[in-house]
Parts: sequence; C-alpha cells; structure tokens
Amino acid sequence: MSDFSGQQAHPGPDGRPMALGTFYDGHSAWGSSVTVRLGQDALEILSTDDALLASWPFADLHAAGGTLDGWDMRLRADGHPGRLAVHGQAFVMHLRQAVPSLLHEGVFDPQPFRSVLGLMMVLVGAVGMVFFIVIPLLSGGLARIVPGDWERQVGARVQESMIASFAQQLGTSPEALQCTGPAGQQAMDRIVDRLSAGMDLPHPVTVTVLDVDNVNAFALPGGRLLVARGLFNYARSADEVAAVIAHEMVHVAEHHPSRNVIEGGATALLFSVFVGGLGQRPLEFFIGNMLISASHSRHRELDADEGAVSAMAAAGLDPSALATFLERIARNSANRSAAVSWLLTHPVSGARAALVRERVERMAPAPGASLGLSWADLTHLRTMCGDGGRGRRQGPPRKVRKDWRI
Amino acid sequence: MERDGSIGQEPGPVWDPESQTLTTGEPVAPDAGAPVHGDGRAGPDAGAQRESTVVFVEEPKSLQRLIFWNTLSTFLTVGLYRFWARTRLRRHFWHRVIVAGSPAEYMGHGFELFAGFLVIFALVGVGFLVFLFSTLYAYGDEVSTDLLSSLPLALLPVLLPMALFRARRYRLRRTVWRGIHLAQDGSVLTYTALWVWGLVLTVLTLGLAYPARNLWTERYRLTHTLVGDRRVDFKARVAPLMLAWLPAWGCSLLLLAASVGCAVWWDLHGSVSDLPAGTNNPPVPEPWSDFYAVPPALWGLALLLSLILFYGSFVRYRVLEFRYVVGQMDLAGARFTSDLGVTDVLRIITPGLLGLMGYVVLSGVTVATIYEVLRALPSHAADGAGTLLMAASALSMSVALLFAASYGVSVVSNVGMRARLLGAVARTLDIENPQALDRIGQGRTDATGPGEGLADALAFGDF
Repeated sequence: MSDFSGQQAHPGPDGRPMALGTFYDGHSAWGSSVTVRLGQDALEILSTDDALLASWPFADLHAAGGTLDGWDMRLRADGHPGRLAVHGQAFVMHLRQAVPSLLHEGVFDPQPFRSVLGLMMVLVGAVGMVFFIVIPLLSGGLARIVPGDWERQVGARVQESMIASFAQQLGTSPEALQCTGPAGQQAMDRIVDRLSAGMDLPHPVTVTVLDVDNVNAFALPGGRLLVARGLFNYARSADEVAAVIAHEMVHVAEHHPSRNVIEGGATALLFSVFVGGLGQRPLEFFIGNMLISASHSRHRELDADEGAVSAMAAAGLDPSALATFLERIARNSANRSAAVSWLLTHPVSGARAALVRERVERMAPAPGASLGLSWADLTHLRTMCGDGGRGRRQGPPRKVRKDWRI
Repeated sequence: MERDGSIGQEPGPVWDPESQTLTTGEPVAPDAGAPVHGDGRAGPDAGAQRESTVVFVEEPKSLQRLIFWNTLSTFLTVGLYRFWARTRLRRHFWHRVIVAGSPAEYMGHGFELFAGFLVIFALVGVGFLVFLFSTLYAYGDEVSTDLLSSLPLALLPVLLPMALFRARRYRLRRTVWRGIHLAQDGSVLTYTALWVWGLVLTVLTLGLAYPARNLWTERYRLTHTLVGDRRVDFKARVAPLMLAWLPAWGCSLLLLAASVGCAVWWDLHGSVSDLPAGTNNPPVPEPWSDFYAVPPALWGLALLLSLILFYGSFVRYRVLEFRYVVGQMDLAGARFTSDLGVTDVLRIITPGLLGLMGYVVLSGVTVATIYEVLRALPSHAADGAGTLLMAASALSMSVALLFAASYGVSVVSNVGMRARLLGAVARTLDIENPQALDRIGQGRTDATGPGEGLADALAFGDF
C-alpha cells in the first residue's frame, strides 16, 4: 500500500488521482476505510477490495462540516445521507479544481459582507416601500374604520392625562389650568362653527384652552383640541388664531391622531423585524423609529396646512393668515437649517410658510374673503383665562415641557 | 496529544503498510484519527484511547474575523443579516467540536431562521398590536392599565421555556455527526409546564428547590434527545445535587437579606429626609429601627460581599452540577466523565462578565448623551451650519457606538467566554467505551421543520 497523504496525489491504475478516506454510509456511525478516486464527473468511493460503494456526482458534492485545512476534507452529496473524510492535500486540490463550487453554500446562505451589498439594495427598496407607501396607505384606511366612540374615549383619557401632567409641572390643579372665560369661549365657538361648516368632520370639535404661555395647539383623537393661551398673545389677529384652529381641525377631519397611533405601532413592529426581536438593539430601534415617524408626521403637517388654507377660504376667512403666522414664527425662532429637517416631526416653519403662501397666491379670492374676524374676538380669547385683559400674567413665563407643536 | 491543538498545523496521516493503519503525528484531525483495520473497517478497537476524547479547536483569530464581518454585515442591513450571521457562528462552533475523532456539522441555513422568525413574528406581532391598542383603550383607567402592563411579565415565564425548547429542537435537528442526524422529541407544553412548576417551587422555597428544578428540566431535555436511532439515557437523582447546592443557597439567603436591608434602609432614609427642614425626625417604627441603626456603608459592604460570595458559590454549584449531569448520561452504551474545574470556569467567565457590564454601562451613558443632543438640537442650534454639525456628530457617534458595542459584546461573549468555556469543557470531558458510539444507526426523525422564530422574536435567541 502506498502513501496517499503526501503532497502528490496518488495516481490510480488509470492515472486518475486517488486518496485514502473514511466513509460513513449514513446508515450507521461506523466508519469504513475506503479509497477515493476522482472520476470524469463523479467522486468514486471504493472499498478496500475495490468494490464501488458509492459514486457522488460533482454537481451534488459539497464540503461538509469540519473542513479546516487543505489536507483533510469532509464531503457530503445531495441525496446521500453519508459523509466522506478524504485525506491528502494534493487530492483535495485536484478535487477543488474539478468542483469549483465545492465551498459555495447556496443563494440562501450569503457570505458575510460579499453578498450583503445585493441584499442591501433589495432591502432599501423593500423598506422604503413598506414604511413610506404601504404603512401610510393602510393607516389611512384603518383610521377611518376605527369606531368613533373608541376615538372619543381615547381622546378624553389622553386629554385628561395631558392636562393633569401639565398641571403637575406648574404646581396647579387641572381645573385651574383650563380657561373658561365666557366671552373667549364664545369667540372660540364662533371660529369652530364657521370652520366646521365647510369641513367633513367625523366628530364635533371641542376646544380646551390651557392657561400656559406656550405658543401651541394640539389635536387629540375624538375631535378634541388643546390650545395654549400663549397662542392668542402671539397671534396678531383672530384670523391667525382661526388659521391655527383650522390646521388642527384638518388633523381631526383626516383622522391624523388615530393614524399616528396606528402608524406608530406598525412602524415600531415592522422596524423591530429588521433590527431584531421586540427589544433587541434599542438604540437602532429608537433612531430608526424616530426618523420614520418624523417623516410621516412632517407629511401630515403639510397636508394639514394645505387643508387649513382651503378651510379658511371656504369659511370666508383670510387664508393668508396661516402664512403670516408661520412667517412670524420662522422669523422669531432659531434659524434651523433645512439640512436637519429630516430629524424633526414638523417641517421647518420658513419652508412651511413659503408653501402656504404659494398656495394662497394660487387661489382665486373666495367671495366674502374680506369678512374676517374682529379684533374684539382676539381680545376675548386673550382674556379668557381671567387675567384682567392684560393677556399676560405677572412673573416668569408659565410654560410646560411637552413637545407638542402646531 | 495536544487535544486543543490547531488542526492546520499537524502533518497529514500516513498509511502504514505494516500495521495496515493510517498513522500520523497526532491525528487531531477528525476522522483521520480513526484507525483503519485490515478488514477495511475504520473501527474503534485499537483506537479506544484516541477516540475517547472530545476536542474543541478554539481558533480565536478566525472567530474574531468572522464576528467582525458578521457585525459589519448585520449593521449594513439594519440587523436583517443576523439570521445568517448566527448560522455562520453556529457553523464555526459546531465544526470545531470533534467527538471521538469526527466533527459535528451544523446543517442549518440563515434563511430558515429568517422564515421561522417571520412566522412567529406575525403571531407575536398580532398579539403585540392587540396589546398596544388595549393599552391605549384602557388609557387612564388605572386597574386595566395595571393589569395590562403586568401581562407581558406574566407571559414571559411561559414563552421563555417554549422558545428555548423550540430553539434547542431546531438546533439538534440541524446537527449531524458522521452523517447521523440528531433530534429532539417531546412536548413543548409538557416542558413548559415542568419549567414553570420548577420556577414556582424555587420561588416558594426561597431557592432551595433550584437543583430539583434544574434536574427535572435537564432530564426532560436529555431523555428527549436522539442521536440517530439512540436516545440519551439519563438517570440522575436530586439528592447528590442538594448537598452541592447548600453553600450557594446559604449565600443566596445572605444576598437576599443584604438586599432587603439596603432597600428598607433606603426607604426609611427617603421617608425621613422628605420631611421639611427643622422638623424633628420621628422615631423609626420599631421593627425597622435596628435596620436604620446600621450605617449605610455597612449595608453596601454587606451587599457587595454577599454578591461576591453568591457568585463564587453559584458558579461552583453549576460546575458540580454539570459534572454530575455529564456523569449520568449514557448514549448507546458510551458514558461520559468530566473533571471541569471551578477555578478554570471562574477565570473564564469573570473577566467576560465584567467586560459585558462595562459595555452596558458605557453604552447606556453614551445613548443618554446622544439622546439629549438630539433632543436639544432643534431649539438650541444657533445657526444652520452649527445645527448640521451637531446632528452629523450625534449621528456618527451613534453609528460608531452601535458598531463598537455590537462588535465588542460579540467578541467578549463568543471569543472571551463561549469558545474558551467550550475549550475547557472539551479538555476535561472523556468518553468511556467510545466504540459503542459506532453502533449508532440513522434515526427516522424528520430533519426538517421550521426555524426557531420564537426565541428571536422575544429577543433572546442570540446563539
């Protein structure tokens, strides 16, 4: 018997490379000593008395586990349960030349990094489709079939909890935080009534004014709006207040609060498919989820701006009031670069104002557009929190730390 | 023989015409070590000594390289590559475990894990959505909110054993040795019931029943493990383990006492210091006055000492338990012995655990910092360029941190702990009557079946 394991492959009687091996037939764990011969298109496994035990076509051949170096290789073949250990570096080299795909592992098992770029391109497309087209479309449909009672109930509870949280921050009671001046209330009702006439609202709109200095308003599920008194002081006309209310009422008409909840849940759920489990990799989850939700939110804000301009015009109010209001915010706030706008839940005010202005200019003036709200309406609103007509209380600004924006 | 030596360094086997065997400078190489007899059977008789070993080839550099590419690929695909990464990691470990001269094989594919995950995710996802909406619906109603928020915690002890049992079944079904498939039968529900009952009993006995719980679940797992047509036989009793458990149990009670002491002291301290300045401290209620009399530093010291004592005694118990369990196993007449050392294990896992803790703390601090930077961004940025710079630095910091943390944690847990632990276990494991393993025949168990989605969906399927 010759040495089959050296650097030279042992040629068989017909000159074909041969080597020694151990063959496990797949029926038991018992290993047989065999001779392995490289055939034309198959690997031939021969017993010690040269009987052919198996012939494995090159096309079916794969490297099996434990292939750790060049001189010793384990093999398996599709459709055969057995394993073959082949000894001999030179033979293994011949084998690898004959079967170049020996170490390939199939399309479903990509190598790290090398195949990842392709996978990534598919992923980017799929992720984009799901997050930016499928989810918004689905949430729009789903939000419309959410029962009205359910929305109103959730809205009432969220409002109660938000007001309680603000009151706690300011060291006052939830009741004391709500402004109930009758003249202001009537002015607000007039605004809501005029705007409601031209809108298709799923719920009657109820506005709660809070005695805080933030310049803000917020739409909750079920047609509830929270408005901060600071908004009235910042506005220069009642039409500007009406424009902000119109923006929030479009959120209500379009079921945006419910869509936020549905999209938030769906995005979080789907995003966790990518980053792993319901709780793995919290930072990736946090950043990705934040960016996607912010994008959805920005689109909704622009929709609400567009709807508000139409609603103002339909109600016979000045549609440019929203543009004027947003332009003032843009002038007075820090100069935010458009480069970071994708981080924010709301579009940059300057850009928003420009879009609104452009839309207003494209509109034909509606009949009765000059019938704006009176200065007295704004005064009533400013004094509805009962601070003697000054519209501003003494002492430091009374602001809450809740990230809610118009 | 260098049982943990590198395969690649060894010379190849040489055919010895006189003895009719393949001889080599030590045949660490799988299969190559099996002696070949004149009748053409690579049988066990003459090679009993050589075959009675289990070898794990550590190759830390190759593992580290694999982890690097795995982490990078997972990162670039926003986590989706993790199924394939896990498969490659398993393959690395499986293929380097050489039992009686032949390596184990891992036949799983990343795509199976991905598909299994999607199936389970759809189910868990629906449950999650129902939970989300129920929570919103119950918003503000304290009783319902409390009930709902405790639901995931209540479900975890049920889902955890289910996930672990299913994951083990998948891994065994994808494991092959000498062409023989491994498998696991048994019922997921029975295992879960056993697991939950063991947990309840352990809690009720303040931990005394812990060895019994471990043994019951281990017995269920092992006696439902099939290697080809043979089932693992496992006859073990709780009594020998109880004796080994007593020191660790004592330390666990010490730890419990110290924790309660610290908590009560903290609580009393809180209620006393909440009083307005100038008020006389009211007397601490009678049963707790002794607690409050002990200085806080002493409580802290007691907690630290009892924690260290418990850690050491617990690791000691687990090693003894492992040795006992291994010693009671019988596979087709082959038996196993282990003399794994407690200090060896402590030397491996202590630095690893400290390293992981360091990463957790460091990541937490950095995450909090980045979060604050991002939050502050819109309102405090002075100009456009500054804002952009801040956003860019915060995001690049996040990316760098995520990569470093993922890679670091994986290296520490796999190279620093898992591989070294496997090496230590293999070095100290012996097989008695290894020739019996040759008699194992192919089983009739189904080697297919879904991937282990539940474990991944619940975020504890890292390996």
